[in-house]
Amino acid sequence: MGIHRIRIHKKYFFKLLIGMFLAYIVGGSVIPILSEGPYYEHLFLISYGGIPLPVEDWRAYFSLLLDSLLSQLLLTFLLANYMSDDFSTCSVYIFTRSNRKGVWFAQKCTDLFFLVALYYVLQFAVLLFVGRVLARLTISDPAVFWYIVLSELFLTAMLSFCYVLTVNVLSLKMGVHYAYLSSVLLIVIFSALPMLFQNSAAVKFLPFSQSMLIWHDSKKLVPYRDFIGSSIPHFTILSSFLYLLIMIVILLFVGISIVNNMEIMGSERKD
Amino acid sequence: MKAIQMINVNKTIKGRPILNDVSLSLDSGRIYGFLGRNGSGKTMLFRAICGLIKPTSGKIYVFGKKLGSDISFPESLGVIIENVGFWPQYSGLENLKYIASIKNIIDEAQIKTSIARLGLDPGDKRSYSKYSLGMKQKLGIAQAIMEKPDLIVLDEPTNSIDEEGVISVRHILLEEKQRGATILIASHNREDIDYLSDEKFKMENGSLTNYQGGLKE
Repeated sequence: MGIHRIRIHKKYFFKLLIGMFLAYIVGGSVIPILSEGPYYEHLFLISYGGIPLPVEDWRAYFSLLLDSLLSQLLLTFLLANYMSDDFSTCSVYIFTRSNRKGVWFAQKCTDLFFLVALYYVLQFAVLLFVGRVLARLTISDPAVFWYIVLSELFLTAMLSFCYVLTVNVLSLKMGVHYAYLSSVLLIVIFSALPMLFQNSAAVKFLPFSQSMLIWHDSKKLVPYRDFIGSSIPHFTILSSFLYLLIMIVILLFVGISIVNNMEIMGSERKD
Repeated sequence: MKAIQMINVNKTIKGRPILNDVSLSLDSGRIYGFLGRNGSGKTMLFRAICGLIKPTSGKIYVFGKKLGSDISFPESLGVIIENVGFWPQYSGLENLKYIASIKNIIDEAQIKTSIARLGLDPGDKRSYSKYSLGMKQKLGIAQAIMEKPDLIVLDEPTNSIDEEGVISVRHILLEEKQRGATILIASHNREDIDYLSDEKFKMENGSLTNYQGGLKE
């Protein structure tokens, strides 16, 4: 008995499609600067995971930052109300059918991670299309190509998930609009900080740095160093993965604690 | 086993007492009516019983399980409290399917039966935002009864419903009682309370008193 489990409203899948247009623009803007190759590896290295170091001034930094920043801000905007939607619409009906509020929160987090990953998978698919159509790119080394794509996908998706989780948790406390504005501020600050600390060891410990694949010290990226700039010594992909994992776990604990202590006062929408 | 036991329950919000030392013991399979003016604390009492708010002090047991420690929410509960809210872009059936998918204990046919019991058309493709106030209220009641819960908590269930609809809702609630459900109703409409209730309570300034008054008082 039972009906098909409905976890994610259709509208969120449609929302994610908007990101595909952005990916087209990102790909289109990067292709003219691909001087080496040209191979897909170069396109992926520079599109989402790369601001070549060192960067000399703020203008250069922000123009390079724009592709990944826009993508993250758009995603945060599209999914900002994912949790608060349940709260503002019919929290009473939902929670009185859930055993624990924490279980509801955990399910919402799983949905959000799936949506974030899907967003980037779609964007990367568009990037493949753009590379083929606009520049007839090919893959130089399939093993390296998949290493780059998967590393970039995981690092970018995990950092974006942290942002999306932050905005959703904040929205339960302060409403979607204030939560989004606060998160935009946070994302811009986090993204700008590496410019200040690029010559210091502290850059390894900044959240945004974790998603910059080309800053990582990886043997597989050595052949591309002329194109992607220098790496940060002893900054490994594994350490970034663990860093982001710890951030996610902390956010989950904070979120569960907030949700468990929230009283449902019935701010249901009056339609 | 008692359906509900409240022991010296208090709730204070921003220094203002909302529930004052409320104690209550309700048997299962009966209908209990709660009367009271706006702001008397009826809705807060229902929220506390449903596990939606935490009492400042006191204990609440629902079918022997303590809220807040054994369970977060009553395990078999159907509820409407104050404004009925659904996703405006979806039809009534789509809304109820989403909500039913959380527990996943009934199928689509049973959801349709519940909608039809309230006199609504389960095949109505219009979005919820196009529903009249009475239709919205009926959909809320359909939502509350569709999973055949042991406890049904209804705050102003007949608001905005026409006279014919009110009679139909009363019959449905009596059928639910026959099934064995414990039903709590708060209403301004004393006629509803008098017609349906086996026992009546009056809320005043957050305090609860047993009430014997009838329709003509």
